[in-house]
Amino acid sequence: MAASIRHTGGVFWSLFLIQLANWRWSWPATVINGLLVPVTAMFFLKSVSGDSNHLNDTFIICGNIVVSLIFTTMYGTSARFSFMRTFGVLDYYATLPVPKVFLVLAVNAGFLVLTLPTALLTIVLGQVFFGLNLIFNPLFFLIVPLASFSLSAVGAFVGVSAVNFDTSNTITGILQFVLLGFSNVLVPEERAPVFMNVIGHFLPSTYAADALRRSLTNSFGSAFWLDIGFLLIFDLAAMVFVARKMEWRRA
Amino acid sequence: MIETKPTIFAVSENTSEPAYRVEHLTKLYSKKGRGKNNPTEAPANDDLNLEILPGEIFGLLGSNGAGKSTLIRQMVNLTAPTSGSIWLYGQDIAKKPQTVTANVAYMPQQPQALLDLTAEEAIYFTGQLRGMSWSDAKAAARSLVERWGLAEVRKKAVRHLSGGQHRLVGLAITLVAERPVLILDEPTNELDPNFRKMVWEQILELNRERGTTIILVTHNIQEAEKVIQRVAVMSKGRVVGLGRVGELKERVDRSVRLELFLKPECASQIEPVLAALHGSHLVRPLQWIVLVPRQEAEQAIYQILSRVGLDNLEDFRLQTASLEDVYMKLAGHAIGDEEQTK
Repeated sequence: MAASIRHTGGVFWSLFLIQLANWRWSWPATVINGLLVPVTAMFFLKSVSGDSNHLNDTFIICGNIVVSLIFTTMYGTSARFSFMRTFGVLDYYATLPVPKVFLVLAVNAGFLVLTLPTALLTIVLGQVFFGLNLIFNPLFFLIVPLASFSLSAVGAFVGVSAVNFDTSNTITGILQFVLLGFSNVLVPEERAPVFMNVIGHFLPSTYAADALRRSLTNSFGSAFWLDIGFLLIFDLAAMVFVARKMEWRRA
Repeated sequence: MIETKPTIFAVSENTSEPAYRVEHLTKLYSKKGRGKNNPTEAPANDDLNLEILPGEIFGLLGSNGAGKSTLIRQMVNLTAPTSGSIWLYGQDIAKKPQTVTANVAYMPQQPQALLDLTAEEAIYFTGQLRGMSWSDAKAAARSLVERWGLAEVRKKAVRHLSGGQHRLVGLAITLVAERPVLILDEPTNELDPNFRKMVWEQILELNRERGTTIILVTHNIQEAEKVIQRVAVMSKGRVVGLGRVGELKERVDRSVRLELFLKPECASQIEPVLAALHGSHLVRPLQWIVLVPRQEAEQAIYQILSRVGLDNLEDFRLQTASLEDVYMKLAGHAIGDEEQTK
């Protein structure tokens, strides 16, 4: 049992380190690139949001953290898997005793490490420029992987299944746009049309955004744990989906 | 040789079964390479049947587009067959894909993975992923790096290595955490003669000492002939010749060839003698070949050498048909037959 756990942990850790090693030569550019988009988007949204109030600002800041941690990670995971499929890298993993879920988890974790600086900077900027009192709770590190995995799994599936790299990017881009719109990431539920809120209840990004927002505003309560519960269900479903439906083999 | 063993081996080797059994394997690609199969397309593999025995070195020969890579990709579960089945140690690999990952190490023709890792890391992480402990994987990586002359570039990213060094890293990655079956696609491409020799020696050593089953896809037939025990020649998606190397040689050419290199000063005296012999021909100035039926070879060769006189020769060589001859003849016939039926 102990040996099996050690082996499983070792396999995941190796996959994770391989993902990090992929960024060894290019991580500064990736981190800077990752910082620019949410930070500029945050100021843009702030400038057009009109009546500035605490609720709006919180949504803008937390929304940007969700965008960088979850949507950017989903997009990156999709691109990475598409790249691996196109250039035959996936063949290497497919011939090893490596569970598909572990590879998705490792790629996801690799991207999270790269996007964490963006999230942390956004929290700091939110406090400095918007005067928000965002609290950094250690639970943040539990929520982030829980919140990002299911969508990363969708990204991985798109990356592996799409005909080519461009198609994969297009599909993930559209998905990102749709999920962002329906999940109350940047707009409070009260301001969104009812049908969007209804659809949002079926999307993991809704619970991911809510859980992160509650963590950063220190409003832990039953709603927070409900979010965590839903995220766990989505993640488990994603694991089963990846294990059964994501095909290493080519037709 | 590295003494470290993988800690996890999901499926044990069943020696009463062939290592691989391929049954009625057909692979059709659609024109776009995806989607529904287009029956008008020529099959990449057409009803293939073959067995590879445990502990043998099996060669897969064929021209470009013969279907070798498609067959290999199906054997390692990277491509789904259109119909038919592949069994590894008695397990259907479509139903039990873990049989392949636990027992087979595959080196593709152009390894593309782990390019941003250093040479040593690439070997080490692969060992880990194949189930070795951290310390065993480290020791194995160090040993393989030394063995394949990669010590100087061990800290260099794989993508910055030369083509030959990249191939050696690919070989080391394949060999780490020893699997009972190795599938090597063009293992000696881009290697200099010294390393090519090392690769063939390593293949023989693994086969002899560990009983490793080795499946080789190569165009380097002359060199591979020294190690291959059984061979399948493929053409247009079909197996056109299958058997022990000696059997196939006999099948395509039952004669023994005596090659004679004359001393220039003796040529005028000896050449008329050679020209009068049945089955003789001049290959180039001073070089003759005499084809002798195998069953008469012993006596005939003695007679020829006595008549010519060893003192009149710079050198002489006696050989049967080479594997290359077998390949050329079988693959050539298959292509010829195909064209005739059109």
